[in-house]
Amino acid sequence: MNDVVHLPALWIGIGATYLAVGATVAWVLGHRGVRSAVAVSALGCWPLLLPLLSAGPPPSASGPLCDRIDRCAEDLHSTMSDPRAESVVVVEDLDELVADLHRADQRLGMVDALVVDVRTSSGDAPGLAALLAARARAAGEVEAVLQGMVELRLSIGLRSLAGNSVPVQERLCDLRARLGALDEITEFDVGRTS
Amino acid sequence: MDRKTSVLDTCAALIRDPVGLGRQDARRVLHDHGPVLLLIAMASAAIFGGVVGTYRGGLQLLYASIKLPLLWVVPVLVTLPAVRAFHRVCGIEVNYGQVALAVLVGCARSALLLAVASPALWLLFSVNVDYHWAILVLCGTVLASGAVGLATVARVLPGSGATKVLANTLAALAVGVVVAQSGWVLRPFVARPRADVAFLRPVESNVFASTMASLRSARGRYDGWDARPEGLLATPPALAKETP
Repeated sequence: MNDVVHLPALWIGIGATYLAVGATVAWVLGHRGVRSAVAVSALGCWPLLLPLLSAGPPPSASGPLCDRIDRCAEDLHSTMSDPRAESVVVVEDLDELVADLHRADQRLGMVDALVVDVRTSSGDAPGLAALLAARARAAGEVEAVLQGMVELRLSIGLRSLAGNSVPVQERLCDLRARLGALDEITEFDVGRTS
Repeated sequence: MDRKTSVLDTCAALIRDPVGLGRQDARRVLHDHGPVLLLIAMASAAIFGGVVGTYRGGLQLLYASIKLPLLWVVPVLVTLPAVRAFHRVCGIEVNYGQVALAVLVGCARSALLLAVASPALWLLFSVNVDYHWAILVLCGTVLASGAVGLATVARVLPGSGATKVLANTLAALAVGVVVAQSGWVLRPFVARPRADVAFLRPVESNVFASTMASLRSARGRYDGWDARPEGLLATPPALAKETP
């Protein structure tokens, strides 16, 4: 009778231990704010995802404003696609604007990492102040575009009440142009400091 | 690669530039693309398993679709520490994240190649090829794509010269042994057309004893085929007799 119990117990024991470790890893990852797909993958394949348990949040190619950009984009998208907003078409320009914002944000993230690296290795190196000033201007422009997206939502709301016309596409193009000008400002800054 | 790339983009990166994908920051790629790479590995192996199952048809199609992903992923999970240990022993400084990413990329790429080879295998099976030839073709396909996967792992991991060759040879041997025994435990994949369909055969003997018996048979000595239950997971003899 012991033999009969022995075989399933071993199988179940190994499987349960593996799944218990997987559940623990998934729980820890979930509490660290990783994507749910990663946490779910850890249930079955936790040995591959153990490196994500090391200290610190998971590094990402995104920059410091990534979450805010995603939130603003999602809010604007939901406002534009609301049926009560009276035929405001969700235009592709929004996706392009969001992509531009993420690119600008990634550059900010790269500069932040660079500044930390330079400060650790060389202290306040010459040229660091100019880089920080350019970074502050770039961040300000991105913030202004995000504010513009919020104002666009308000305009759409106003339109649904008062019937004012809102040139959504033109406004989005203006915001994109503002981001495009950011590159020119950066080039100008670099030319002036070099 | 951007964070929001599609599954198709990841497939293209696996085929065109696996080294570029595997040499990025391991934690970031595992976080951003880990689930997609796992999905590609499992789905591709399942497609290949489905095609293998068509040789017998019926329920075997489902069984093989479930077992092939297990055969492709479980040995990888088991041998991860060994792969890292072999590199460290050979003096190659490599962290666990790098090994995990390299192995995941290699696994996904080789599974993708299995899926790519599936239509050709399907065509071959559809012309009523002999059972033994079907087994040989299956083994050849698995060996070829497995070799590509191991070569990808070797290219992604750092190191150079004789130590890299030694470390990767040892790692390949370890992975090969575990894959071979896993395949033995998970058989049958290609069931005989008139055989009863079973998810798993009873665990008996091991792949190496079976290979030795085959070699003896090739020399005209037909002994050593009385396979006995072996290993921790095998059914004990007393229990086997009781089981109808």
